Amino acid sequence: MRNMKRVLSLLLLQFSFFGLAASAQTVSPIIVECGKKCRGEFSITNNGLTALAVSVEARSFSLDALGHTTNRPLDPGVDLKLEEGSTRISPKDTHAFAYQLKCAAPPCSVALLSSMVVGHTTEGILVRVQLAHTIYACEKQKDCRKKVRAAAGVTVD
Amino acid sequence: MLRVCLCVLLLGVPVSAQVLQLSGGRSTLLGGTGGEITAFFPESTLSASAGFANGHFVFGASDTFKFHGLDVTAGDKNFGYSFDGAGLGVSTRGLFVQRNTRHTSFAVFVGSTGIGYATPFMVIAKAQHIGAGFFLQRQFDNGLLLSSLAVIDGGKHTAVQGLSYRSHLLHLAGSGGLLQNQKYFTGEADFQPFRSLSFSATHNDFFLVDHLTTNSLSAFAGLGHITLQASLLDGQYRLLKTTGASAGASLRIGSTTLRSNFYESNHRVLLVHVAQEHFHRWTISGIVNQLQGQTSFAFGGGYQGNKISVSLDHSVLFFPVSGKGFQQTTTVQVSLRIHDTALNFQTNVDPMMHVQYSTYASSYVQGPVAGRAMNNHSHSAGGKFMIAGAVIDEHGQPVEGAAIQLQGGAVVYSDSQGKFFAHVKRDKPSALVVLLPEFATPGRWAVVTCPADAVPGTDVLIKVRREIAP
Repeated sequence: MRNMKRVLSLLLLQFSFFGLAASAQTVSPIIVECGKKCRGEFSITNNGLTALAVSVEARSFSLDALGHTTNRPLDPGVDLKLEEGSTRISPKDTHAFAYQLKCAAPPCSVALLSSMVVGHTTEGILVRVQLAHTIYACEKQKDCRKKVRAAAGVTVD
Repeated sequence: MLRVCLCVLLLGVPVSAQVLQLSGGRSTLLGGTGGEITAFFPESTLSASAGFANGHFVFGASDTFKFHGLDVTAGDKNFGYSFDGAGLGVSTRGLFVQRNTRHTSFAVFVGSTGIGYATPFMVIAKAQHIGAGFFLQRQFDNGLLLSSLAVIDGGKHTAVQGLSYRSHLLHLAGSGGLLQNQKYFTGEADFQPFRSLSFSATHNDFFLVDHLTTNSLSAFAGLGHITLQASLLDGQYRLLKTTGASAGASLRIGSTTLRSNFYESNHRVLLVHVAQEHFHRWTISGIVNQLQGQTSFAFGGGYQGNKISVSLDHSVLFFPVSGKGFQQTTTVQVSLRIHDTALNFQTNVDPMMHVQYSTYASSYVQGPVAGRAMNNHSHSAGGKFMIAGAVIDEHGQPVEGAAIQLQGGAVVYSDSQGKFFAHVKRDKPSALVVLLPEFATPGRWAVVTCPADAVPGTDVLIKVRREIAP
């Protein structure tokens, strides 16, 4: 009987700490550098306990002097082939999105934005997480990001 | 009686749990067979494990929750104290309280300690002694990390102090003291004068059936596509002392890597030459071994995909416990994912050079209060033809997170522009179904218009209407 009381108190203790769960999603790698043609992939990890629908959108972007980005539709010289445009990621699972990129007029700066709806507020406003995988494509892979940033006049790290 | 009550109550928990994780498996390496059920609540996690370990029935349960900013575990807990690569584990049954801040981690426990069975599929602490202890770790901004672990269990004392320092050129880490009344020290020093050149020295104390001590010295140089490495190792177990030396070079040309390594131990020389080719998600290796005038060949490789990964690896390991020095080992690993269930199988070679295996499965089940939980569907079609389209609402605005199922069962989701695409294998019309319950966007939706099928190369337009806001 004493054991039973102990067990019940254990469960009561547990039910009394009911609140909101927090989870996070991650993208890896964040940045890649490559030549005019490249083939790569990036991974999205669902660290949460429920499945997530993820869609991927490609954008060209430019930088201002402070390193802030401005996204726009893909430039005409960028030929990007995504293996998948969306998927469902199981709890605690990682999904790799593969792509091929050809850049006709280097350098090309492309962001692959992975969007996932993670919930909504009580007012009905959608809560969406967007994680970017950034590709810098130049004539030569080495120091491509540095060259793109220098060309944009970025002075901060 | 306690065990029966816990079992009965835990079986009732799924009704109120948000998410359940079910795991089960067997491991000859970790000496156990069993399973675990974990119920995730928003602020607490309740789990129960049962199985057989070394021929005995074992049972454990734990409840982890937050209390005034503290992480509290009541029940079984395998507390891993990891310090810059070196780890100690303490298995406790009782009350465990932990607090983590940006720079400080503090933990204290009271209860019993004993043999722990911490596997991916069950966590059980077998109570043997009354014990108590604390752990404190503090990270400083200048790269210094200090830690202390103190445990008293069954009259045995553990008092380990750790220190780590990391700078641009140098990394020093060491922990030492008493581990259950035995002297213990583990240390590592890494020096990297240039980006392409590094030196490393390690000393480790392990407690298997007896005390094992290992030391190593190694150097690494990377020169563009060429890498060079050399190392000296020694180990002492009981009265047996084993020494070894290795050196090697590798050359990377495009997706091909060529590697040659020399290993010497116990007056025996082993030469291993490997040619490895990396494809998109494939790796294929051809291996030539030369040992005392005899040549043998082996093949390895693997595939790393989203649903399945398989590998067959050959590697050379140093075995100081058995006194055999460098030995070629082969390991197999297979991982499968079927919907929300992960299946794993892998082999390992233990310090006595016995091949052991571990196999386990783990699955997530969404409970009634988990909120939106998408059902299990296939999400990768593949192929060279593309079906594309867009989903809009009655006002012509794009709808993000709309789920569309194609012929064959593949499901795709629309992006923030309402656009979706999928690759299909055949250049012929594919049936389309809008999966309203699968929408990632909250609210209740209805289909206004949707073509019955989609032809590769032409865009389809789907119109939906939100009936009830979230």
